[in-house]
Parts: sequence; structure tokens; C-alpha cells
Amino acid sequence: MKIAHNILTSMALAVLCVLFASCNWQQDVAPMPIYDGEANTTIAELLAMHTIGSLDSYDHLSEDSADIIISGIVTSSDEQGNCYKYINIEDSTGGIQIKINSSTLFNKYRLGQRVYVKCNGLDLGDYRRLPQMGIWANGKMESIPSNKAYQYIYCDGPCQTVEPFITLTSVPAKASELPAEYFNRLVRLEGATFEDGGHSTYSDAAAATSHNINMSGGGTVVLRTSNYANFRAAMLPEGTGTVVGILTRYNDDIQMVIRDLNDVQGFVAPPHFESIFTVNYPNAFNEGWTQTASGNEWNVLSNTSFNGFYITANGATDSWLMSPAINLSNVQSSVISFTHRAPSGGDNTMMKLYYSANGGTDWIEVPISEFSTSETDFTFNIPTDAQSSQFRFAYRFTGNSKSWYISSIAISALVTK
Amino acid sequence: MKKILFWIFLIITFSFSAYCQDTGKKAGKAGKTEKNTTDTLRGGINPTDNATDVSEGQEDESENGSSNFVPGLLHSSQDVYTNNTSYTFSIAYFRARGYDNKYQDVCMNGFAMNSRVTERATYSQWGGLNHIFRYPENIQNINPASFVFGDIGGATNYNLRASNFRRQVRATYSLSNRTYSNRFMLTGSTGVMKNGWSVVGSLSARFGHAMSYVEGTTYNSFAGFFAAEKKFNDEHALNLAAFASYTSRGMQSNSVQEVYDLLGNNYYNANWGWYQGKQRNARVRSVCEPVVLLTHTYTPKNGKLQLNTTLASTFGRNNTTSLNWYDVPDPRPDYYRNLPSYQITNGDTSGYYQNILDLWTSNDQSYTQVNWDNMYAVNQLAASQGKRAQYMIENRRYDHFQLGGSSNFTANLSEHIKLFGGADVRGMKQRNYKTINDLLGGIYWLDVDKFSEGDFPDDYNIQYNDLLHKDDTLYEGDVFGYDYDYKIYTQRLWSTALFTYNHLVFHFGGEIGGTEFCRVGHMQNGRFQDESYGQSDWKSFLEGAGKVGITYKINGRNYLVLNGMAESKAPSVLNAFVAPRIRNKYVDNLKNETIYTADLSYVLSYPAIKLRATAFFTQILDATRLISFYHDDYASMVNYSISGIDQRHFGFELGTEIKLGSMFSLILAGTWGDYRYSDRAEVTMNAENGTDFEGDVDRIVYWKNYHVAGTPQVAATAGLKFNYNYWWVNINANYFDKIYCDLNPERRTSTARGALDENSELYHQVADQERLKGQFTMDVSVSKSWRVAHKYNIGFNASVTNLLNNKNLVTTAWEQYRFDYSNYNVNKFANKYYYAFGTTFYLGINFSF
Repeated sequence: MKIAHNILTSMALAVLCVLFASCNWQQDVAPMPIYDGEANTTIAELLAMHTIGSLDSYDHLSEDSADIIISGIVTSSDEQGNCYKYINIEDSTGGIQIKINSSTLFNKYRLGQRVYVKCNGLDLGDYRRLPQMGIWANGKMESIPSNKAYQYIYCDGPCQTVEPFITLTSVPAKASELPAEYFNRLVRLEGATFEDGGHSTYSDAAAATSHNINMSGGGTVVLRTSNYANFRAAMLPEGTGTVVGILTRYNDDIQMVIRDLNDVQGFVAPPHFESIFTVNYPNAFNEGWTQTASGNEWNVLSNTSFNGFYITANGATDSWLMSPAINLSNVQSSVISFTHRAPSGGDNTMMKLYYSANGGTDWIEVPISEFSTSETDFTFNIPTDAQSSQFRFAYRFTGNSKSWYISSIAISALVTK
Repeated sequence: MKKILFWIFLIITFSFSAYCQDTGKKAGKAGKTEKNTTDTLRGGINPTDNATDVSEGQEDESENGSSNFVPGLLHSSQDVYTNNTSYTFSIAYFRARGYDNKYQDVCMNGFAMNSRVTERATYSQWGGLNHIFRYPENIQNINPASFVFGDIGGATNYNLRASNFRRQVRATYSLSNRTYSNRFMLTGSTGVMKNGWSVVGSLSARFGHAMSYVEGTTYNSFAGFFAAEKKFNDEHALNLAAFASYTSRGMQSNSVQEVYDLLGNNYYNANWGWYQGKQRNARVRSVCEPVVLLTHTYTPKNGKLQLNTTLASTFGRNNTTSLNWYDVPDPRPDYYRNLPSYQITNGDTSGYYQNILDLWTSNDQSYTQVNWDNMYAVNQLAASQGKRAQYMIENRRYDHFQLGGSSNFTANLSEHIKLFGGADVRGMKQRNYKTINDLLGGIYWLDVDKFSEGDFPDDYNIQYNDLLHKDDTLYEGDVFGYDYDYKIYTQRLWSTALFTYNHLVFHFGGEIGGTEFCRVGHMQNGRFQDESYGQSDWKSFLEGAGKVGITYKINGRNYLVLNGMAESKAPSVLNAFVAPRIRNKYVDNLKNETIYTADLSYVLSYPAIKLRATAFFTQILDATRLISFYHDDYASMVNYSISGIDQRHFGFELGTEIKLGSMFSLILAGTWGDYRYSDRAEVTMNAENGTDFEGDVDRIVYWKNYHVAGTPQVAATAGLKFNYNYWWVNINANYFDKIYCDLNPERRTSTARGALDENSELYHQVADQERLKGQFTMDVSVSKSWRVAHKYNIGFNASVTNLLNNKNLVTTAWEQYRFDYSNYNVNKFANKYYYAFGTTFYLGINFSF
């Protein structure tokens, strides 16, 4: 009986051991879809099956003929709403737009996803000379119903990084002068400048909008943006940079569609002059303006007809009016400008402009070129070596029985946005 | 006498069968197929149905606090584990060893009551007749049985012979706040009279919803039982038993957590709405499926044999109403487009979103419940223009008729050897169809499929559900949508030999059987004109099973028991057709489901300590399932036939009962289980309407090692029993854990994964399985009985379930089958939940003499 006891006990232990050993608790993972087959046609060969004429037209890819299977990488994304109801795929020979009736394709045909397309049964056509694949109906290229797309388009494997196959710095005047394999492919435009940069948004709210991109090497590409794009209201950048997008055409216009704002890169607005110093006259002497007066003093007058400093001498006078220290160490170039008037006449022996790079220790005179009884503008380019953090300027008046009125004092500097 | 009884039996059988064959006016045109996207075909894994079935069991707990009627796989008899867990675990919809109910055979006089369509026994067939169905014989798990071969979930037999009931009159009244308020039961039995006759009659009524736990639910049930037995001599007796239970109840819905949270109510019921000042429920299930059993018992005088033979018929109707609509917004208040979250995902966070949020948070019941007035207004407007109704209530009907017989014997071959055996032959027909229940103020209905209308402009016929009646206008009572029969025949032959020796008891046995079935279409569907009308091919399956077991008695108090079973079962007819509602086409490669199971127990049996500790292991291979749902990617209702479902269930069970003095006992019982899919499954998907698939689409479901849902996999209870002077008090503290959400297989396919990175957050949102938090509950029950005047027995009992009012115990959770392929937003069609009731009570008094 003891033997039987032992046998049963060891059986029980064995069962338990086998049971635990056989259990691998790893949660199952569905593999990415893999297409079981191979492409037998390049996109260029596919495109050759349809001849683009002067009007939109199509060729039916018959179910009865031999399989036409292409393969390509998805370069479009409607995640931001700009590539509306289509995907673009490309291989090394060309690209094609496939129209699918769904506005959320980016989860199914992700950017960088390899897809295989069984083209038989679809129509290969064009819209204003841009090749498209879909269904020809109502005299134009229409979308594949979204619930039928699975019959034609098969995803394969993981997503990969997508890079433009070419970088262009210039384009010809007409789309027809570009190689046909450029269209429907991801292209980088370098040295691109938006004609409306800084002025217009990517698209109007009401309708898809075109904006010219001028290429540094010559030529123009039209950026076409949907009014449903999430970035529609963003401002087109100023300056020159790089635009990545899918190159398309509208008859002879060369067009581009971007996926999102990351496609617009490296734009720097050109430097421009901006006022960096002005004077609040009524309070000027509390805001750093100082004077050393011998004889008559400098005064402030602020009313509807005049807003500035003035001095009137009725005896021997030598009075300095000095600005506060101004930091010009970060600017590329700078200009002092002001308007002045000497109603009783005057000249640059008695009315002088100085500047100092060291906070007023050393003053250097700048001759004022023109004096008048009416208001005269004067500008002076501050020398580069004077653009210090302790830059000051000053007016010196040594006239007698004369007056000097100075207004609109400003320093403008060239700054980078 | 036998002859008379036989004729009575036949007459009753066939008159009832005529009732069940009533088909309603046959006039059908294509109708829209239901758009209820979470619904599945009957008998497929429909958590809703499962849940309600089980909860019905819960309602039926007996007057003794610890039940004699329990749901699912658990049946109390002498087993210390089952005895002490069956009632306390039922609140969490616990299923022993994670098995579906279909793996348990429920018999009456040896005749299995499991439907040959659903494979499950329907307890509501005898709902309310607790006086009669009190003391079943229960065979745990894979132990050998004398009345049936038995499945892996055990076997139960109710002895319905009138001579089994002693002379008594018994009356019971119960009061509850669960699903019905009142229950009356009255039973009289004569015992065996001098002339050899015994007669039993029982009546039951359950009704009232004033205190129902879930708002908008209703309950009305009436049941009757009659049995008469004539003992002709010492060897022969003939018993006729017939019973029926009619139950009609307004059902509870399930919903997403968003809705529960907005209303602060985990028991929100979307099924009802105000109509003419009353709560009206759109989902009413009414079932009446009578059973007639004629049993002959033969006990030869030598005492070495008992032979029981039962001829039986079951028949009746199972109806469930539901909203249906055409070309109007979905009227269900918790439809996803009616929820605030949808407005956000749809990009609107201001105006409309705020309005809808306000309607929910203020619980405006014209919005948060079914708006009957709106549906009537729409239909009446259409009626005034002579147009079709756009809303209606449909009735999904299952009428069945079954006729069969079974026989079993017990032969005492020698002092040490007993032989059990039996045979079972039966035929069943079930008609599945829909009728128009209420046109809600409309004048007529057209049976066209709205999903198909738009997609096939070239083919006018394609929209019709029944080309044979495509121009009919339909009225209340008319058949529409789908209409088909299942015909099923089964045969079983089995035997088990039991050997009993001083230290060793062992048994082995086997069963062989066959199942044949087909589908008969009564409509010619416009989308599948050539394979919808008429009879399909017959499919037949050879089935078999074997059991072995050995008990080693270490001594009179300690036992080791090792049992094993293997079986090969025919697939359910429910899963055999790719689109059973409309097509005769079978699933490819239909094959038997195979099961291997073994358990090893250590049993301790001292007067003061009883213990059973068991380890079990079950491997299910090639199970099948059919679900149907709206597939967003194909814009169509699809049938999703899953085959090759492999499940591995293993775990441990422990039951102990320790006597503490003469009055108290301590209970410690529980189970730790691990129920998982042990391999990938295959799917064949086809469209029921809408799109035309190019043939069927095949997929693999990558769900290996995901958990099988439907039960807590960990459950434990600690209890104290008190018993003194006819007072019984039970207090239990229970814990449930490893509760998993049922999976949407589609989310574990390559198609759904696409190119998602395995480590990305989105991947995990899509692929991971939700595990719900473990929960504690407590139960108390008290009962007392008195004997008055040496003649009358008066009993009183009260039980309170979930004493601490824990409202966070999820009993059923599942992922919606609809998946958002556009945005991969898993919360658009979020998980749905049923919660166990908070504190409920059951009070009863009974009187007998």
C-alpha cells in the first residue's frame, strides 16, 4: 500500500510540474500584416498603361488580364487633414495617387508603410494630367469605396522612414518639362520662398488655397493646401527654407502638397530694421536723459503741434542734452534718426551731435549736415565699433539768441526675427 | 393502464406541439437586419444572455438561505467545497473551473434537459417550481454517474417520480428586492397510496417589481407541475410528469462606464422609458417551454438491476422583444453617438457637447431613457402621409419541439462490480424567426435591408430579406427579417463499470454517439438567393467520450482521488453555419471539439474536519463560436465564425469545514484558477449585408495566453455557521479576483494591429486585456423552523446578500465587437459592464403539514 501511496503522490507532483513547465505566459502579439506575394510591375510600368491626353481620361485595368501588382511606400498622411481621401505611394521608378473614400486613412496606411496593390479591377486615369488610380465614374476619377479598399491594397510589414527621393532648387516653368516620374512622389524643395510669407495663412477657411513658392534657382511651385487641414490657419513663413511634400501637377502648374508643418523647415525671416529706442518726452528727464547746462537749459515741450526737446538761448550758453545708456551690443547695425528745426537759423558750429561708446567718457562728434528753419530729418549710421552696451548720444547747443527744436528721436537696428 | 397513460402522453405532447408550431402570419419581405451591433446570435457567446441567465439563477435561491437551486455548474450535495461555495460565489457569476454551462448535463428522470441547439439546460423551464426541484442528485465534475454519462462540468438529475414525494402539503411565501417582489408556492403530494398511485401537484407565482433592484425591470412568472405514478407491482411503475413555467420579464441592459459615471449609477437600465406615465421596457423576454416526461421504472425482484426509461417531449416558445428602426437615428439612449464622449472625439467640445453633457448629468429622462413619445410621433407622422413605420418593436422568437427517449440501468454484477449504462435518442426542431410585435403607431413595415440598399444600386433584389414576399406590406404579428429551422438528431450509448474494493475504487466507461443536423430556410434572401431557401445538406458527427478514475483509500478518513476524462463533441449547430440567419452555407472544416481533463483530489473526512483539496487541468481543443456585429472597416454586419478555439483551464480548489464545538463550524473554501486561450484561433468572416465580400475573409486571432473571461478565476470565502435548536445562521466573507474582460477577437488580428509598434501606447490600448479589480462581499442568512402541535412545520428564513453594499463588483465585462478602424480610439466603443447588485434581501416563510 505504501508503494501505491508513493506512486500516486509522485503522479500528482509530476502532473503539477508538467503543468507549470508547459505554461509560457507571454501575451500573444499579432504580427504586422505581411503580403504573401510579390510585385510584378513597377509604378513607372503601371503609369505607362495610361496615356495622358488633353482631357481627363482613364484606362480600365481588367480583372481578366494578368495580375498587375505594384508595391510602394506610403508617403502621404491625412492625419492633419491635408491629403484628403487619397494615399500616395512610390517606388524607385515613380509614384501614384490612389483615391479611397475615407478621410481617416493614416491609421490604416501609415506614413512609411509598404503596401502592395492589386490593380486589376481599378481604373488608372488622370486629373488635370496628374496620374490617379481609383474608379472612373461620372466622367472623372472617383474614390474606391472605403469598404472595398481591402480588396486591392495590402499592408506589408513595419513602417520605415520616408525621405524625399530628390532635392530641387529650381523647377522649369511648366510641369510638362519635369520628368514624369517626379510627380506623386516625395520631393524636397530647397531655397524656397513663399511669395506670401508672413502675410497669408496656408489656406483660407472657405476653400483650398494656392500659394506660390519661388525657388532660389528659378521657377515657381504652387503649394496647395486644403481648408480642412488642421494647420490651415498657420502663417506662411517668411524668408527662405526647405519644403518637403508630394509633388503634383494641375495641368502645367507644378504643385506641392505637404503632410504637416514639419514639412516646412529652416525658414528664417530676413533681418529688418526695427525701432529699439524712442523717447517719452514729458518724462524724459526721469527716464535717463540728463543735461549739463551753462546758460539756458534744455526743455521738453509736448503738445499737439510739437513733441520733443528744445532750447532757446538769450545769452551765452553751452548746454549738453545726453541720452541714457542704450545697449547696442546685440545688433548688427543701427541708425540714429531725428527731426530738427532751427527757427532763428543755425549751423553745426553751435548745434552738434555726439555719441559715446563708453557711457559718456569719450564723446565723438557727428556733424549735422543740414539745418533749416523748418523741420529737417537727420539720420546717422552708428559705426559698428561704437555699438556697445554703454552707447549714448548727446546734443550740444552753444548758440546765442538762437533756438533748436529736436523731435522724433529714435534708434533703429537691424534685428533677426 | 399503460396504454391509457401512453395515449395521454401522446395527446398532451402533440397538442402542445401544435401550439409551438404556430408560426404567425407568414408574409415576409426583406427587412432590415438588426443593427444592434453588440448583439450576437443566440447561443453564441453573448455576455448579456449569459449574465441574465445566471442572474435568474440567483433570484431563485431557496427558502433555506443556502440554496438547493443554484445556477451554472455548481450544485451542492455532500461535497465540502461545492457545498460551501455555490451560493456565496453566485453573486460574482462564478463558474466552476471556468466552464461554460453547456458542459454540465442536467437531467430529469435521466433525460437530459440540455437543448440540442444551445447545449445548455434552461433553468427557466422550471423556474419557480422550487418545491419540486429541491433535491437533485449531483455528480461533481468528472465523477461517474448512474443516470447519464456526464460531461466535464458534472451532472445533475432531478427525480420527478411522484412516489419520490412524501405525503405533504407545503406553502411558501417569499419577499425580495431583487428581480421580483413576491413568490407564492403551493404543493401537495399524496405519497404512495394503497392503490399504488402517487400524485404530486405544484403551483407557483412570482410577480411584482415595486422593489426591483434595477429600475424599469418587470417580472411575471407562473408555473405548474403535475406528476402521477402508478406502481403496478414490485417490479413495474409508470410515471407521468408534466410541467411548465411561463416567465415574462423586462430586462436589464448593459452599458459603458461613461454612462454609469454620468448618472452615478452602475445599475442604469437603458431599456425603459416613460410612456403614458408608466415605465415601459423595450426588451421583454417571455419564455414558456413545457416539458412532458413519461417514465417507466423496472426493478426486478432479484435486486440486481434497475432500469429507468423515459420518453419525453419539450416544446414551446422563447421570445425576446427589441427595438428596431429604419432610416432614423438609433433610439437607444446609450448609443455611442448619444454620449458626450462621442461629441469630443467628433471634435465638438462646446455647444452640442455641453448640451448632451447637461442632459446626462441632470438625468433628463426624455434623453437618458427610451423616448417612446418621439418614436410614436415619428411613426404617426409617417402614417398620416401613408408611409411606412420607421420604429417598431420586433420579437425575436425561438420555437422548438423535441421528442426523445432515454433509458439507463444500474446492474449489480457482483459484490465488487457495478455496471451503469444507457441510451438516448432524440430529435429536435427549432424555428428561429422574427415577428413584428408593435408598430408603435405606424401603419406598416417593409422588410428591406438598409445596409444593402445603398451599396447595390444595380441589383434591386439585393435589399430584400425574402424575395418570395418582397412586395408585401407587413403588420403586427408578421414574420420578417429571417426565418429558418434547425433540425437536429442525436443518439448516445454509454456504459460505466465501477469496481469497489477495500482500499481501491476505480471506474472506467465510455460513450459513443452521433449528431446530425441541418438548416431549413423559409425565406429566399436577396443577397444569397441560391443558398438561403430550403434545406441545407445534413452534417453528421461521430462523438465519443471516455472516463477513468481511481480512488485510493489511505484509511477510512483519507482518500486520494484521480479522475480523467476525454471527449469529442460535435460542434453546436449554432456555430455550424457562416450566416445562419440567411444562408445554408456551412463553416469550412467543421469538426468536433475535443476535451481532455483530469483532476487529483485529497479528501479528508473526520467528524470534526472535512476537507477536499483538488488540482484540476482541462484542455479544450477546437471549440467554435459565432458572433455577429457591425464591422466599421467593411461598413457591414458581419458574421465572425471562430474555429480552433483552444482553452487551457487549470487550478486548485480547497474546501474545509471545521467544527468548533457543537454549535459552530468554520468554513474556509476557495479556488485559484488560470483559464486562458492556449493557442491562436482562426476566423472566417463574411458579410450578412451591406458590402459584398469577395468570398470569405480569413484571419488569425492572436490571443494565446489571454484570459478566458466569464468568471472570476479567484474566489474565496470564509464563513461561520451556527446551528442550535433549529436556528441556522450563516455569515460569509467572500473575495473575488482575476476578473477579466471578454475579448473582441478582431482587436487581436494582424489587420487591427497594422503597423503599430508593439511597444507603443496605442498598441497596448488596442491589444491589452482589461483586468477588473478584486472585490469583497459579505452575506448573512438566518433561518428557523418550528414544529407546532406535532403536526405543522413553520419555517422562516432571511438572507441578505452583499451586506456591505459593494457596488463595484463587475460580474460581466466585455469589449464591444465594433472597433474604430478610423482613429483606433478604443473608447469610442468602450467596454461594457454588468455589476453585481448591492445589498439585497430575500425573506420567506413556509408552512407544511
